[in-house]
Amino acid sequence: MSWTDENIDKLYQDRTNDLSFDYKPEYWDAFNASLPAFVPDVNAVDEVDNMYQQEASEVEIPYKEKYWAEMETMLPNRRRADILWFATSFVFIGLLFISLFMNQDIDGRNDQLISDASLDQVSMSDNVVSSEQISTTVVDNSTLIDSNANGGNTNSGSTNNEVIPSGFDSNTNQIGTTTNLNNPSVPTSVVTEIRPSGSQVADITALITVLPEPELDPIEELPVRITNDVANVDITNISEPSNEENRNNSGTEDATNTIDLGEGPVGVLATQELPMNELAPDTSTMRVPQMDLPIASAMYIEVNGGISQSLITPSDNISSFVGFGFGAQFYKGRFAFTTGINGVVSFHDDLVLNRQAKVYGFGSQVYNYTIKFNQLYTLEANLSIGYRFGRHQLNVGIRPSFIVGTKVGFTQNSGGEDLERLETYGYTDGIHKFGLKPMIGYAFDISPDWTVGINIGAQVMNTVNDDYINGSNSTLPFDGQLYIRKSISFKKSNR
Amino acid sequence: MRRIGRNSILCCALGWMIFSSCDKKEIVLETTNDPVFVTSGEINGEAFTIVAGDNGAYMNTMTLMENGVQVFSGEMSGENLSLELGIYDGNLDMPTQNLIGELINFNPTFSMGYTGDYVTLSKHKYCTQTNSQNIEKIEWFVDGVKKGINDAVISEPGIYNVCARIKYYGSSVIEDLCNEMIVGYRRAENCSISFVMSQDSIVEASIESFGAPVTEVKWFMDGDQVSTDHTFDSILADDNLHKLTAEVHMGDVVRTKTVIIDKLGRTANDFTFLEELSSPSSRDFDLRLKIVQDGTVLVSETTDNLDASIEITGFEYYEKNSSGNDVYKITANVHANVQEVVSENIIPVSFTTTFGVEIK
Repeated sequence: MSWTDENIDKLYQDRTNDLSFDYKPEYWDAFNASLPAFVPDVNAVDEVDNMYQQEASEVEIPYKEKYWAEMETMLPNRRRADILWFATSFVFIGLLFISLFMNQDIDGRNDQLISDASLDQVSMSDNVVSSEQISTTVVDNSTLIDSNANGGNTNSGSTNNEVIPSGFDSNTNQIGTTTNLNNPSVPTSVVTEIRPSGSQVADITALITVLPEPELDPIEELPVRITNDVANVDITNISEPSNEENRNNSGTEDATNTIDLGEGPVGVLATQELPMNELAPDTSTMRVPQMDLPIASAMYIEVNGGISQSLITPSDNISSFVGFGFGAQFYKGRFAFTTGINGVVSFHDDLVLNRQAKVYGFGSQVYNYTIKFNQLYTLEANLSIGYRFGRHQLNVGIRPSFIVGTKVGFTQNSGGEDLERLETYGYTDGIHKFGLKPMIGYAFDISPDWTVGINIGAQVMNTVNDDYINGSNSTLPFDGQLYIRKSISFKKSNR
Repeated sequence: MRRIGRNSILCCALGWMIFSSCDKKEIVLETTNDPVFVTSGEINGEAFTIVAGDNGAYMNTMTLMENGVQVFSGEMSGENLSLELGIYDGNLDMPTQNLIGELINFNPTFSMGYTGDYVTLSKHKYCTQTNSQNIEKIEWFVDGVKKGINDAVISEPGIYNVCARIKYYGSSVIEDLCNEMIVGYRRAENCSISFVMSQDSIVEASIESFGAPVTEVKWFMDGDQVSTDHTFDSILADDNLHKLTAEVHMGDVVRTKTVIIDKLGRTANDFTFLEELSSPSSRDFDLRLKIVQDGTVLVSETTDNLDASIEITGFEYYEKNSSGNDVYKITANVHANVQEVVSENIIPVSFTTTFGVEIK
C-alpha cells in the first residue's frame, strides 16, 4: 500500500478524532516555556490604541433591528418559559427574591446593552493578548475577534487550554487571547479565532465569554472552547486559574497589551469596518457562539411623589401622594423589565363618603355618617417594561395597587345631634381596595446608580364605592408620578 | 445576606411600631334593615299599613294586668291608627310553667265577652256544702272590694283574692278567711283541706286532691310553718280561732288553701270550690284586639268571634324592650270582628302583622 497524501490525511483525521485529552497544567507550562519571551512594543500598542479610539469615537452606529433578528437566529432554539411577571404577586415576589441572588454573581448595572450609547468606552486591557491583526466583530453582546497572531502572547496561562494541535505554530500567538473591557458595563462575549501560520490548518476558536465584573479578573470566568476545525476536535474545558495568577499576568501586561476601544459603544465595531486592513473581519472564519444572553438584574430603591386628578367627580381638587419602595430591574438586550413595590401615601381633600342607615326596631333611628378619607395608604406594584436608548428609557407598564389602610375623619350624627366625632386609621369601607393603573413613563440615568423618571398613569378601576360617595367615580383619573431611583448592590467588593 | 436579613428585620420592626402606634379605633356603622314590626290589612274594607319606625309609628310592648291576670301585649301606634294585641296568660295555677313553650305551640282564639256571672259567692251554698251551720253572716270581699253580704258575684274572668268576713252565731268574733280564686281560667289541678276536730281538741288535717297526686305540702298555723307532712295534727290549747293554711304542690301546680279551726267548733272550710261554678270557658292564652281609629275605639271581646281566625306563622324572641323585659315577635294572619264601644257596630278586620309582645 502506498501512502498517498489522502491516505495520510485520512489517517491523521481518524487518529485525531479518536484522541482524547485530559487537562494537565504541565502541558501549558511546557507550552509557555516554548514560547519566545514576549517583549511588548509599547509604542506599537499605543499607536493601535490611539487609532482605534479615534476611529471608534467618530463612528455613529444606527440601531438596526435586523442585527437583533440575526442574533435571534444565532441563539439556540431553546424556549424559555414565559415569565408572566404581571400575572400574580407570587411571581412578582419570586422575581424580587431571585434577583437578590442573581446579584451575587452578576452586576446587572454592568451588564447592559453592549450597544448602549451610554457606554463610554470599551478597551481591551489587562490580560489581553495583544495582536497586530485583530478583527473584531461585535454582534450585540458578542465580540468576534479574529486574530492573526503574529504577536506574542505571553498570557497563555490565562486560558490554560491543554489543546495543542499538531502543526500548531508555537511561535505565533495562537491562543490565550482574552479580552478585558475597561468599561465594566459591557457584557461581552468574545470569539477569538486564531489561525496558526503553519502549513497545517488548525483553526482554533476560543470562545470567551467575559462576565463583565470589573472587580473580578475576567479570566476567572472565561469559558473557553477551542475547536480544531481540521482535526474536528472540539473540546471544551473551562479552566479557572487562580486570581493570583491572573493578577500577576495582568499586572505585567496592562501597560503594554491594552487595546483601548475608545469612546462610543462597542456596537460601533459591529458595523464599522475598521480602516485598518488588519482589523477587517474575516467572516470566513467566524464562529457563531453558542451562548445565551445573560439576564442581568439590579435592585433599586426609590422615592416618588406626584399629583393625581380627583378620584371623584365633580371635583376641582387634586390629590397628591408620596411613596417609597424598592424593586428590581432586569435587563435583556435593550429591554429593561422593572418589578417593584412602593408604599404610597395619598392625600385627599374631597374624598368624603356619606352613609345613612335607618335602623328599624320598635321604632326607627336614622344614623348619618360622614367619613372623610384624608389619607389612603397603598401598596403599589410597579410592573413595566422599558426600552433603553442611551441613558434614556421609555417605559410602559401597569401599577396594580392595594389599599391597606386609611386615615379618616369620622362623624356620626343622628337626629341632628352629633353622637361621635373622631379621627382614626384603618377604615376601608366604601373604598375598593384594588386598583390598576396602566402607565407610560420616561426615565433618565443621571449616573450609573441614579435614575430619575416620570410616569403617567390612569386609574382604570373605581376606587370608591359609588353608593356612598358624594359624587361619582372619576373616569380614568390621571396621575403624574416623579421618581428617583438608586441602584443598590449587596455584593461585596473584591478590591 | 446577613446584612440584608438584619436590615429587613429592622425595617419590619420599625414598620410594625409605626403601624401599631396609629390610633385604630374601630368604627362600627349601623346598617339599614327592613322594618321589624309591620301591620297591614283592612278595617271595614279600608286598607291600612302601619310600619313601626315610619311616619312616627312605634311598637310599644308591655304587660297589662286584667283582673290579676297578665296580658302579654303590644301596641302599634301610628298617626291616626293604633292596634293593640294582647295574649292572656294561661295556666294561672302553674307558677313554674314554661310559658314560652306554651306560646310557641299555642293555637289561640279570640277572647269572647260573657255577660253572665262567672262565679256566685253564696253563703247558703257554702254553708250547705261545708256543713258550716254556725256561720251567721258572710261579707264577701273581692280584691279588697266588698262585693256583697252572704251573696256576691264575680262577672269577669281573673284571679282574685276573695275574703269571707265571717260572723258566727252567738259570738262577737268576726274572722276573715281569704283564699285565691281562679275565675274563668283553667285550673290545672285543684285540692282542698279536710280536717276534723276531736273532743280532746286535737285537729287532724289532710289534703284532698282532685287530680294529680300531692307531691309536697307546707302547713302554716297562723302564718307560721309548722309541718311539711302530707297530714297535719295538732292540739289546740286555747279557745282562739286559728287559721290553718296548706301550700299544696301537685306537680307544677301550686295552690294555697286556708281554713279556720278552733276547738269550740267555730270552723270555716275552704270556699274555693265555688270557683268551679258557672265558668263558661277558660280564657287561657286567648287573644284580644283593640283598635283605635281616628278616636273611635273598637274591641274584639264584646262581639262574637266564633268565626274569627288567627293563624300564627311565627313566634320568636326579638330583644329586650326599654323596660328590660323580653319581647317576642309574633307573625300572624288575623280575621276577626271588632265592635265599636259607643255605637256597638260590628266591623270586620283582617290583617297580616308582625307584632311584638312583652313576656315577662
